[in-house]
Amino acid sequence: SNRNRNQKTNHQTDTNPKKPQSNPALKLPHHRTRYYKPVKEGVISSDGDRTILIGDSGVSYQLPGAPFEFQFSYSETPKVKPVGIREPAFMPFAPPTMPRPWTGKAPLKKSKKKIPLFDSFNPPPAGKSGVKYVEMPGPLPFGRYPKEGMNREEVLGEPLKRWEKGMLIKPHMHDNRQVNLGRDGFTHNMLELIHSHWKRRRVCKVRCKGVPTVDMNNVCRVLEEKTGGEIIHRVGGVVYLFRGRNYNYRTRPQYPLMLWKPAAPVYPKLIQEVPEGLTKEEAHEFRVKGKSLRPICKLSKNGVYVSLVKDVRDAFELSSLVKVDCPGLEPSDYKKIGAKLKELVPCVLLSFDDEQILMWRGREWKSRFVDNPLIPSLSETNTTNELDPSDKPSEEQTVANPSTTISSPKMISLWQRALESSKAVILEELDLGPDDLLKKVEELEGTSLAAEHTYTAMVLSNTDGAAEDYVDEKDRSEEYYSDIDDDFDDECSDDESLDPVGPVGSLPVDKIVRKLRERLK
Amino acid sequence: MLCPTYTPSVYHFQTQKPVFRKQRFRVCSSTSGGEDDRFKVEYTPWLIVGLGNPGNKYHGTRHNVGFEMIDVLARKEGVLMNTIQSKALIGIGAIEDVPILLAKPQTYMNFSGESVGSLASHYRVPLRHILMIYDEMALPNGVLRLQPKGGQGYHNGVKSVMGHLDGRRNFPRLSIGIGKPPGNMDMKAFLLQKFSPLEQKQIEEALEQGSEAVKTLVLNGFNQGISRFNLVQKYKFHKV
Repeated sequence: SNRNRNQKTNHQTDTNPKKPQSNPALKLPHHRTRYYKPVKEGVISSDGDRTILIGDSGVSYQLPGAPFEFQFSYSETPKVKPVGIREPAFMPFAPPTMPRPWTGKAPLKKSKKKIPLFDSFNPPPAGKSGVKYVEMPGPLPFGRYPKEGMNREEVLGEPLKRWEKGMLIKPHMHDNRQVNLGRDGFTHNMLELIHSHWKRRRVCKVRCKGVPTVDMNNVCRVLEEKTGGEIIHRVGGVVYLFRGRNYNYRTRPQYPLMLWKPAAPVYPKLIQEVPEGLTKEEAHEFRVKGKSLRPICKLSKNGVYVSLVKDVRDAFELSSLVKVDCPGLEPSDYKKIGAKLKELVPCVLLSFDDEQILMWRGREWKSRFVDNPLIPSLSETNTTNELDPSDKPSEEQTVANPSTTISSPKMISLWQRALESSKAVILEELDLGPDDLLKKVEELEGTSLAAEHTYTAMVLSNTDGAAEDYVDEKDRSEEYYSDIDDDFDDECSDDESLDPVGPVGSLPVDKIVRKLRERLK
Repeated sequence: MLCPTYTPSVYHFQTQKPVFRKQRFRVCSSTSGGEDDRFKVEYTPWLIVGLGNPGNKYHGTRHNVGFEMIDVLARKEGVLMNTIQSKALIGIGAIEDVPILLAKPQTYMNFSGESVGSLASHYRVPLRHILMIYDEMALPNGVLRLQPKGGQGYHNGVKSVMGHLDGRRNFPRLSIGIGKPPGNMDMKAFLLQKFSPLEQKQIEEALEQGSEAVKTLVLNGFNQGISRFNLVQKYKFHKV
């Protein structure tokens, strides 16, 4: 009886009664379906203006009046053309004539929850649950009002300033009111979802996890392209999408929702028995070698794999084979990751055995360090392996005091000062055991405790300061003092040298005071 | 334990009566040429500190791998570790023209900051020239990593040093990988254990490579060569 009814509804709705299929909304497409139909590029099926075609971006759906071709996922569609489809080609959108197919059940009841009006003259008290507050349209200069925009630039308005971006992002930092983007990537229905986030808030946070994070640039590009917003901040897998200064929810582009997930088409095999550029023996040899290779990293399930492509590229600098371990990931996941790596790195996939992706860098791989390729520098180290690591500096330097040989008067003077003030002690014997050394140190510590706590004021000598201005000197002396607690850039001059002794009257402070007095006169 | 000198205060000068007009000065920080005509340009010294625990009990353990690195450096650069100052065994030497100060703090690990802080202030080594050498559990055994800055990495020695350097964390560090404790072995037991023969071999090779890297770092600073060194180290065991 059910089937009869289905037949009937089909006859009512379909303009083309020859189609054998029943409405796919009524049967769930399952993964182990036997259906397989080889397809070629071009239109698969068409129903008036509504066509399903296979083009550059996999299976896409053309509707009349749509601004672009709809796809199930905008970011996760491989560049390779599909070779077959797993279910009869059918539009996943609601048919234009029938809002809801008859499923044998009454429609669900409406929610009883009453959402209070927010836009009234007596606004609800702050903190009342169930109230949704609308944010003002984008940050606009004082006295300016949002204007209706038509295209993307008009909606976005003038570019955001830095402080505006900070202001917009801040409340979203530790908030999980967000759009989650998973292994399906940026799907068609997320467009509507993002717009519904933008209804209340100016910024929509999109958190990406899993497969799409391998290629975040692609995800970001698609997000900006399809939603019309602007990405104002991006950290790891988290993207903050701004709706635009002149955004208006009512005039947003509205797209039909996909009512079910179309089955993914069949793509050509990722791993060939004999990959291109290899003979059968070589491929076999590589796979055997790969068994004993250490994986460079372990991918966790639903992790963020932002650095994966860079890591694999780096590892190819040293080894022709690279393995990535994906324990616990779903097979389709690591296959998708493999396919992305194949395009992005690029590399040749060898196997997915044991939940591990084995890759070869290919014949036309070129090192980043062309002039100076990385050579493992493990060969010359065997000469010193017999050396005991506890060995103290021994007979090769018979010079008693190496300080005479080095040209660092500042260091030596400091060292001697430490010796004179009995803060330091020279050891007579050099090959002390660790315990003896510790004992010596403890002995010394007792004696030098007093010396440690009596500080002599450091005196600066600046003899050439007369010609310069005093602030210059002040800054320089600051520079000396900030040695300890200040970080310099490395390009800061390395050759600052300073003789710490000088007559008492020549401190920079004295000079400053003197000049100040002159100036005040 | 900071510099035993006076701290400069900020001076405000009112050169003219209107307060809001400040006089601006061009600040140039060059070496005063007249002083050191006796010598050539003198480079800022490097303080290279290897962290470890003193005493025979801890000698040669995983946690003391910083000491071993200092030993290798001292032997390669011909530095005599002959002075005890501020609870550390130190040696003054030079890599080519750049003066270096090797130090092995003889305080226990959790207090090694005391000696590092006072050494840095006494020899007036800037923060960017203090190289800490310590063991790192997050890296596999025998893998080195040179970083211009970083966190404490749950290393009590580094924590203490940071505490005595005013909480600053941007000093360079050379971390020597020792691997993770196997199974559910206690972390402390693993750290205070000696290396297995295979690991010892890997560590010795790593120390040789590390001393070369320290030399390039001291001579050239963080540049392409250091990132290259890190790359080679990171993937050195991932070969067929």
